Amino acid sequence: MKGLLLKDLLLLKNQQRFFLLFFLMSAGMLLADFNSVFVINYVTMIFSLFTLSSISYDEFDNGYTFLFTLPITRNQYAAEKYVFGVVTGGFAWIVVTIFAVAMNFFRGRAGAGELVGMAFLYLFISLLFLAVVVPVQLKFGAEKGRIVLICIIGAIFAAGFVMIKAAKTLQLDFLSTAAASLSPGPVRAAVPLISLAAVFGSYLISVNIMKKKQF
Amino acid sequence: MLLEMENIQKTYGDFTLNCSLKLQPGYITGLIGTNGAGKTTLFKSALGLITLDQGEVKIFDRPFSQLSLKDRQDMGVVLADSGFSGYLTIQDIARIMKNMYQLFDQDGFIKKCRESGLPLNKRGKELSAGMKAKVKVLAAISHEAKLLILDEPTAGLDVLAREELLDSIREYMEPGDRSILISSHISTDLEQLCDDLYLIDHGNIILHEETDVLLGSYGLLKVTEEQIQKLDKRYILRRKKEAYGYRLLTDKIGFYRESQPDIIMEKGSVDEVITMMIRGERL
Repeated sequence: MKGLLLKDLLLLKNQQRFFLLFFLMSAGMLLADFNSVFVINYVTMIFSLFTLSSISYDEFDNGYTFLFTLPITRNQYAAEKYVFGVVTGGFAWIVVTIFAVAMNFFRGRAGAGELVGMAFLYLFISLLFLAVVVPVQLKFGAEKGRIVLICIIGAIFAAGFVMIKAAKTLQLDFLSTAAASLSPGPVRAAVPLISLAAVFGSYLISVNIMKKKQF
Repeated sequence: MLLEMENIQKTYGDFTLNCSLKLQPGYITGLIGTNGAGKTTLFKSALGLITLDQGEVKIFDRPFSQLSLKDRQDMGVVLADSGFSGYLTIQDIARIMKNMYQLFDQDGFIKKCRESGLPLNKRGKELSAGMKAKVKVLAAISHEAKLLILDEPTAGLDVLAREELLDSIREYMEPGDRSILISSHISTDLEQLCDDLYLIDHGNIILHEETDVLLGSYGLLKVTEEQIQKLDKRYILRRKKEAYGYRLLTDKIGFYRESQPDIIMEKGSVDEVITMMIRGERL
């Protein structure tokens, strides 16, 4: 696992410009007083995505074949992709959250606790995101994976749209009732649990995908 | 036995690999065959990269699925068409290998790379074919592996680079308790290096012989129509029609030298044996 993580970190060097650009962009957005929670969420998601590009690097030029002759298991490979996503996303999250809290302090605003709380919530939402994208990328590869992801995101939006339309047509107000009945406390408690459970389930799917792969 | 493949079978469309192979301790075993004969499929089977339809692969006397990661560290692998990402430098590879293999000699590897004139900070994709091949072999022999599996390690190399690489492989064998399974298109490489050879064609092993026997006892007989009628054909493996009559492959050239001194004979070479075994017809 250590060797795999190191490989992905060393490959990340090839994207250091992209890496820096996003840090500068997020610093710029925070300086320009964008919504801090949005910036933290955005940057964490983008940095988690480095795990997808690490999968592309692995499969490029027949790389998988040699990779799996090294002393690693297919389970470890799948697990490492989540760990790498958490490492890159987590690193970005820490840097940007500290910067956002500092900006909050310099602007003399209260609510740093609330900001950090929200930041934590989005950290777990990024995990949820990883839980969806990693198995898709492993199963379909870089090229097809992108199309499948677009389809999944499209389907989620379409489902939401249809639900709202249906609710309006049927003059049901269950969505707003349901939303209003949810108090923020339990929601915040549920998100980490759901995310962790989703990552675990996603890991099991990824292991299954990797075990079936023929190189 | 360091590597043993027992009646393994794998079918891809109309191609079926169906073979058995053994790699003895202290041996360098060569695998020869034309393009598409099944060499790569056999290597992938040996490395657990594909699931088999039938049969079993044992490494270090254990089924592949039961190998621990420590056992896997005792194997060094070079594949012709796959390697570390071309976006990594030699320095990067050294660091990764150090974290993958407990016995990886990082300083030794870097030293050998320097001696071979390899640029340590250039990315793999910027290196020449010869340099890439050299890095792959050096990485595979730098962690005290007991078993090396080398698929076309000399592919695309010029004579000097090939010789240098073969020297590295010979050096690796010096401790005496190591074994290598190697494939190559260049039969002279295998003639010089291997203790025994397997010839694969259409997914089947059609010949297995010690290299000394192959070079010493195998040979070609050039006979006319008249001569072939009278010939004792017990030790003739294949025949091929030629303008003058027939070209025959035997595994007992000594027998014919004594009994038929008037026939034109040539000592065997790996290339001749391959050609005759594949293109020739059985008697």
